[in-house]
Amino acid sequence: MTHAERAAGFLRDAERARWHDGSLWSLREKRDRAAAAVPDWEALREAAARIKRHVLAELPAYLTRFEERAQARGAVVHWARDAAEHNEIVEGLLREAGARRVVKSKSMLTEECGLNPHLEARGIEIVDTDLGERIVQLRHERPSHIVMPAIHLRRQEIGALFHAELGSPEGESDPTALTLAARRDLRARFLGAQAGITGVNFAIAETGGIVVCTNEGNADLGTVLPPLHIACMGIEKLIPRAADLPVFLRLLARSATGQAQTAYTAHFHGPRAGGALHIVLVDNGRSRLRARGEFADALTCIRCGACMNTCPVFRRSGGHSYEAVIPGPIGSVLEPARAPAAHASLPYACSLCGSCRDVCPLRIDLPRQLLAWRSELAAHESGGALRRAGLRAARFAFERPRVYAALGALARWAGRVLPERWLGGRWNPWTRGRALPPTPPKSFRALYARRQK
Amino acid sequence: MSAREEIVRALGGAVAPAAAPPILYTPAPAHDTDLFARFAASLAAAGGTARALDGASALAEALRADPHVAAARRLWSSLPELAPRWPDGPPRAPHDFAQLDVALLRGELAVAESGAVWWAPRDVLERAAAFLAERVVLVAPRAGVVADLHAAYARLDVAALPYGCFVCGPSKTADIEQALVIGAHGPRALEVWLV
Amino acid sequence: MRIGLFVPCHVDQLWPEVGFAALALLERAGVEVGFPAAQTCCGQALLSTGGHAEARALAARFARVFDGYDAIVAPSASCVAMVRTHYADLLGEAAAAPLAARTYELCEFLHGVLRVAPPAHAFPHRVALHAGCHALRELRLGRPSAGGAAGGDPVRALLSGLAGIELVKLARADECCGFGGVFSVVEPEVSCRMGLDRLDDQRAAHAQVVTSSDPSCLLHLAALARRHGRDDLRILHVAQILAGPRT
Repeated sequence: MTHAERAAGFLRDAERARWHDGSLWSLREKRDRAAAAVPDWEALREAAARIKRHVLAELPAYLTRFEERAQARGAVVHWARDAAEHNEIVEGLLREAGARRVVKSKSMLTEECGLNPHLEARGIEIVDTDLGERIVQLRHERPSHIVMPAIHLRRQEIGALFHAELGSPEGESDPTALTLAARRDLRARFLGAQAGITGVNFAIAETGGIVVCTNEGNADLGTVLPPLHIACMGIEKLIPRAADLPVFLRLLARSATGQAQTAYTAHFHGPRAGGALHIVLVDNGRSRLRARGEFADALTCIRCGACMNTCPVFRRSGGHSYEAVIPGPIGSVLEPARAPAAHASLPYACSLCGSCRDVCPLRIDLPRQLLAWRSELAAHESGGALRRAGLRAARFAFERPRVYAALGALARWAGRVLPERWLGGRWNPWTRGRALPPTPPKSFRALYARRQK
Repeated sequence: MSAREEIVRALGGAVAPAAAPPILYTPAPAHDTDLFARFAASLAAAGGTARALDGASALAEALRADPHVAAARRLWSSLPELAPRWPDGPPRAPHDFAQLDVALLRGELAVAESGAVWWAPRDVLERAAAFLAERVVLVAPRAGVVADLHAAYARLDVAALPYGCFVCGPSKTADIEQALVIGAHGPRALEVWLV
Repeated sequence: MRIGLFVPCHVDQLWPEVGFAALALLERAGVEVGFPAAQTCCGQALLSTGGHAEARALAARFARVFDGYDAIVAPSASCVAMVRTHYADLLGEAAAAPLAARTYELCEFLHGVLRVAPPAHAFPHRVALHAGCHALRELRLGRPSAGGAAGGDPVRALLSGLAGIELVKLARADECCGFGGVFSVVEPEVSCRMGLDRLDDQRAAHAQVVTSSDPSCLLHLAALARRHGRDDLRILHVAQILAGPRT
């Protein structure tokens, strides 16, 4: 299935689609207000992009420096070439510690690596503690948004889920009551956990520390109760110095939710007393993407989700329509790099409106990258060969004004004389929701030529 | 070849940086004079409340008068001004805080632009108390209010202890239909007292 | 000053009145206007369908066709954005820069370069101004709601001079209409939903007329309005309104 087919499915429930669009639009508006309140917003974006590009250029140096400094603080650093290696490392660490009950705070990387199914298949219980992630985990589906994983669900659906899974009262759909039910359930799991896994928002090369941002405090609880902390990060998460953090922290939460800062911005430098800290550095295709100049900028993404909130297609098609770990504009750039054939339709899930580029705190030129993917992926698409043939034919006509004019005249003539139901059949995607375009008897060029005589 | 060698090689292999990092970003100086008012407004937006207290005696009075502190059965205190309360004996592990009512913590520095307070716990027990308590009061020096995070990081050594955190309001979530709920996993209320 | 009028392929074939309205506005401003007959398409449709090589050929062709004109003016912000922001990728910076520097969207040229007095004839209607994405977020003609670089809004400036016109306020002033070239046929359901949402917003603001500097957005919106019985909205290119009843 293509994104368009899944999007059409999402839109069939018109009321839900409208609600979904409105929810995300209100986040966009919160982001706009937050950004407008920061006088140096554009300078911050500029600075953030410059720092991240620098780090990408010098990545091996920063990675090895980070490793050395993190080790000096008592952390153990592991390297994983791909998802499988990452999962094996984490599983090995849990086994070594005898941990069978694990709590995890939000990490798109572990989602990308498929860590949960890997551990569950081996008898290790892993509980997502971010409320939204917990909801989708209980529903056995993937997050539909990287910041708000359950943004596609109505409160009644979550109420029914919690009634079935957590024993909350039937019919309860008040967000506060439902959050409380999850809090009670998860509190017990935090207290019983033998290990905590977190993602990483930023890793500081200079200090060997990692920074994790949450609103719920789940990364903090999950690393203070169990003695073992495993932090999993993509190799692109580095920044040079602690003093570079404010540039990113001032952008991140405002771009994501319109907050000035997340409730908790935790800095970990080495293990807690009596505990252990393991940091897993994961490549999984990042070095390959970095080597491809035109897409390398996508690695500067700090996962704020602003491009999803603003994207008029995402808002009307839902995160699941992308069938990707990272949905939305940035996902449509990243995912084809991982699996071109599976994600060939994603670069077309975009009207090229450019709004994502305007909200991206790192100024990633997403529309340009999506365009680049379109030409590159033609080979992987189901209709790719046909499209290429169409492109060649169009070029042929547009390079020959007479051919172009004749074809135009023919099409307009057909539009005037043929029955509308022929031209507007199911085969024609234009007329599925639209009338045929106007078909004036003469083109501008024909009328102009006559006027000049 | 180890994963490490292979990844470093795939990235080009050079381990000595060729270029210095960009010079540190510094914003134009903020022109607001009332940093406390700005901090209080930012913290309110983050769901917390700020109070200004004039000196040690005002702090002592505030601790005496605070209804939540008075009502707390179990109380963590990092402040010399108030003794902790452990009706079932002092805690030995973070798990002993499952029913903690109030945690009184010492913050170092407050950020006017966001309403965050830098707090670096001395030990694991204090670190756990801050997240397991129903209510947290962070007491920070009034002179420690800075305009923004740039000023904060310029003054802090964030790597001095294994854990340090900017706390910006109480624990919260909006994961259900974006309805803001205070008290997701951690504290349901956060106050900052600037002395 | 010799102006080359670029009439985009969709305007040439489907909406010739817009071309003549643009021509009239330029001639009234007193400049010499030519319409090189060899012109066809700027190549944007091909680029957005993944045809970099084909688009490059058409970009090179566009440069040849308009060689010798002091300025190139088009009643389509999107095509102008193609020349200004994408030709550099296709032709190289050196070849594209001189072209980009003298290619203008019609209102931008009238207002910003020729500095014509805004027309003052009567247009006593409630008008919704649809901010085309490429006018706003590529050419930066206006102030995008998400922030970033902002410029003057020549369409609004020129329309504001009309007697009796009322520009209505939309709930989402710069949301995409969902046309997006190839997007409109690859993702027809999302594309139509986006367009209908724009029409709903415009109708909720009690607009009688919808206008824009981007004819492709308008053709898509008009096709939706016709199909979904929203014929109460008149859809006019801004050049048609500015040129007035004389054309």
